[in-house]
Amino acid sequence: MKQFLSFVRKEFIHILRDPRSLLILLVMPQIMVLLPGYVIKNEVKDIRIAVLDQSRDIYTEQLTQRLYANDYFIGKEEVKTEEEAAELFKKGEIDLVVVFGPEFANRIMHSQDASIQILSDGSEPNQASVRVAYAQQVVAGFQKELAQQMAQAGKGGQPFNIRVNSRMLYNPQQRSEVNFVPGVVGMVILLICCMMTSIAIVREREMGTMEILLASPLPSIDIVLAKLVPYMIISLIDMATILCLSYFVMHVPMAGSLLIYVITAVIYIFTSLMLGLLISTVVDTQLAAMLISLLLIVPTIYLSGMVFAIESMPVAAQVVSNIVPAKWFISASRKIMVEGVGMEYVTTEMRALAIEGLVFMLLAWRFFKTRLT
Amino acid sequence: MTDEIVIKAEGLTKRFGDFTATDHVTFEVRKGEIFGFLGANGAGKTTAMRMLCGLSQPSDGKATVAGYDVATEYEQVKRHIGYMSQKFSLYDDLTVEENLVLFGGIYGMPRKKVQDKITELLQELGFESERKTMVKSLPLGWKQKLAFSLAIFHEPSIVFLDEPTGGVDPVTRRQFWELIYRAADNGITVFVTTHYMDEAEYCDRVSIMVDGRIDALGSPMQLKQQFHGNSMYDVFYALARTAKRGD
Amino acid sequence: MKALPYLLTKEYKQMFRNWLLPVVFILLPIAMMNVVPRIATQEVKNLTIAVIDCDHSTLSSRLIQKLQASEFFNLYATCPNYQTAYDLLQEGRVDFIVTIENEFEPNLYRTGGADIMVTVNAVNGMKGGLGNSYLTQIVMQYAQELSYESGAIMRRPVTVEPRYLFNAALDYKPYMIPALMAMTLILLVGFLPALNVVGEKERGTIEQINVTPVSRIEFILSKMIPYWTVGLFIVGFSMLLAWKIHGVTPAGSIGLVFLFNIVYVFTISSLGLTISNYSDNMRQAAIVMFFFIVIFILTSGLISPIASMPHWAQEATRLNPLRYIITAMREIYLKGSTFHQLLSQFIPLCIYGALASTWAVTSFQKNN
Repeated sequence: MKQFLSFVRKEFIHILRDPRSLLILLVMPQIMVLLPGYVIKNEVKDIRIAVLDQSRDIYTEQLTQRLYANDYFIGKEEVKTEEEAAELFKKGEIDLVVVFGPEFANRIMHSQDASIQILSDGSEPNQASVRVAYAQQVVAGFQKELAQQMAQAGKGGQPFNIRVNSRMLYNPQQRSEVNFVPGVVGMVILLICCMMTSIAIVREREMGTMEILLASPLPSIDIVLAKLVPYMIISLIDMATILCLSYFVMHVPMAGSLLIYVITAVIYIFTSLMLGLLISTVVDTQLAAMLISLLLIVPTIYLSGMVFAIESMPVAAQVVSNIVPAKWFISASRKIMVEGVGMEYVTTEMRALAIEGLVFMLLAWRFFKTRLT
Repeated sequence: MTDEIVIKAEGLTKRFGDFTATDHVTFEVRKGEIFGFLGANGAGKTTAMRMLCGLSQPSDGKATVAGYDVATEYEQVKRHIGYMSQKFSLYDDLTVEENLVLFGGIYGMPRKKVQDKITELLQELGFESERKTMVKSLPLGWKQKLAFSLAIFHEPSIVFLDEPTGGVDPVTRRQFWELIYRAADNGITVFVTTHYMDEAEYCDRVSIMVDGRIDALGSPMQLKQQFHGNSMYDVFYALARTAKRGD
Repeated sequence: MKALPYLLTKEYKQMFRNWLLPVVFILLPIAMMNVVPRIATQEVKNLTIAVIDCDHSTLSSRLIQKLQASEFFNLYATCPNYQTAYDLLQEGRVDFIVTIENEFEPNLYRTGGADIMVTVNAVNGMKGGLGNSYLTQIVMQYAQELSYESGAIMRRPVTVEPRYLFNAALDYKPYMIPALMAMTLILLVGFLPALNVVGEKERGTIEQINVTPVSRIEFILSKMIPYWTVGLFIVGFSMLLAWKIHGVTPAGSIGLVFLFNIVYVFTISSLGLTISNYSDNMRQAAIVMFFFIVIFILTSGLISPIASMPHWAQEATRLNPLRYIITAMREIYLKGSTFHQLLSQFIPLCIYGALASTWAVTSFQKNN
């Protein structure tokens, strides 16, 4: 045990001697949590809007005023032709152009076929449809007022009104950080435990120092385990700081039990470490270790449900996502942190993580053995 | 051997923070000489040599190599020297020939001349069969001979060798020194660090560094007389005992 | 520049002798172009709904039909009470619960107003929010329709026709694919150079180079040029994949795509080498480069639009080279914007490239 601890100490010294890397390992996770909280938003605002008014009557003027006065819109100079609008769209200087056809007021009052065309930059589909929805809301408000004016003038009754009373569960302000924090923890642990440990072990082999260590009286398995301990501790520190930051500063809830969360995280750390170990046993150079880790981390970003919802993926991708350890961890932590469910709701995730960890461990052990002999 | 001075160091000093690795070192090396640079590990040999090769800036003092100031004209210095570092530093994933072509090209040697020289050199070394072998699969002794040949491949006027025979067997060491003699015969000045005292005997002149300073300088014969020893080992031991820096 | 051809030969040989590198140059673009666009979609479609209809009237069932007819919603179940529906929501089977009040139809006719209650699972905030606004819109339209039918209002309402330019099908793929190309490039052409020079430091081979009279520019060029060729191969290969697999091709000029990418690849390979020059070992270089890549990707507009960021953050993203390439690539792919229209992206990217490459050369120390 004493010998084992001295090996652990040696590993720590390696890490502490490189303050630049340590700083990044400790600070990067915090930035990855803060960015979504304060920077990465999906809200639609500052919509740059212009009108193309071929009618120029009282109603188009009223509507234009309404649109420009709306908080979501930033009114830009009126455009004269569709070509001019197209040029602005291509330069990326405008998001929405509202086109009033000729004789707008006349058509409302008489022929009843008035129409408004809304040109929206459809590049980003969600933003595009939300922008249109905002413009439609303004138009709807205008119509309601028009109908009320008519009703007062005795030309018809009040329009029907169906009120939609929405209640947002779990994440009432629709904050993206609530969605993001569990994902960031999953990502950071994978990065540290998988990429860093595999590099650390392969480095010893590349530099030739591994042979010296293996020649020591300590069992070879202990030498490898000693390399894992510091990274496990760094991940735990990162997890703790991320949780503190998100809870106290960003008010991300911890609705469920912290203990259950920590247990899940520890299982996940174990799985990630074993994956790192497995990588280190199959490659020979640090470059290869990094490339393989990279090839694992990139799909993880996409397949884990961290950014993109798993339910909306194609079935094949959903099936594949089941072998991504981060998926299980992120799913479990969302349930615990946001929904506050009990242990019985996350047993599937825990079991999946543990099984994967054991499989990685067995494989790593096998490859390690064959390497030694 | 002529009296032309090709390396001249005056009070050459390198400090890292408050640690003085090389402490006001002064010496001269003549053209065609084999100059042994001795000292225990950590005595400051490699640091001094790195300054002379233009890899590292002196903190104090002055040195010229082939007539160029190492502090300011280090790129000029590099045109006239060859260097073999302590750690094997050829490209493992290139073949013997590819390494030679690469460095020949870097020094601007014509392609034809490079090819002829490679053939000649490999013949001399008895390496013809290894021309297309990856360097990583060569045995250590061969690697070191190759590294030396590469250091003098572009026919520099001075070659710096940093512990060139570390870790090789006595037979190979012997062969290695034959290569050094041959280079010296061709008029190349050889500046070599070592801690094998039998090798020190092969040098024309040696200097012995202790704690960053040169404590003795002269031909092996002179030094043995001066320190009343039978061999260079005795001389070295007498001096090394005064060292305060550990390994 | 006499030494450059020799140094380049060496770099290319080393690159292709490492079997893993060429494999990654092929595999990563395939993964990024084939798989990721299918996943990296934020399309809010097929949201599942549970309905509790307490009214069971003609008007309430017409509302349910309206919701069902929308491409955004799928009716998962009609529930007898709120608790059953709530259980479904907790199990993650439905995203929305729509409760139609008891006297829905009578209230509408009597008072002109009625209520529905919507419960949204908003763990995924964007999905919840967007779905909610789609739902509100459907209900509003329905109300207008009813008003006109019943004669409550005399005039047919003004119709609003949205027209989505450049991406009429509102498909996420042509939006994500150009951005994913930029991401693939930084992962390879940014990350690998960061490991290169420091790798030579670690193996000690750099000493043998430093002691030669080779110039810094030549050495750094010999490190960069191989990555430029790899980068341009990846651009071409990715464009081919995007076309063959998803049918996504640039609306604008292919030459312009390459022009932008040449400057971009030049910039990121310089950044990678600069980091490599400052690093002591490969692990450190990897961590530092990874740090920058993560920050660059998160703030580039790849996953969330720059326009949605707070103003100070929008200004800060001007320091991010990915911002310019991703914007430009999307404009070329979707809108067919011309060089002239994209000058505001091209100029900053060029300045960035010039600074980064100067830094890469000056930070390489042959003598310290």
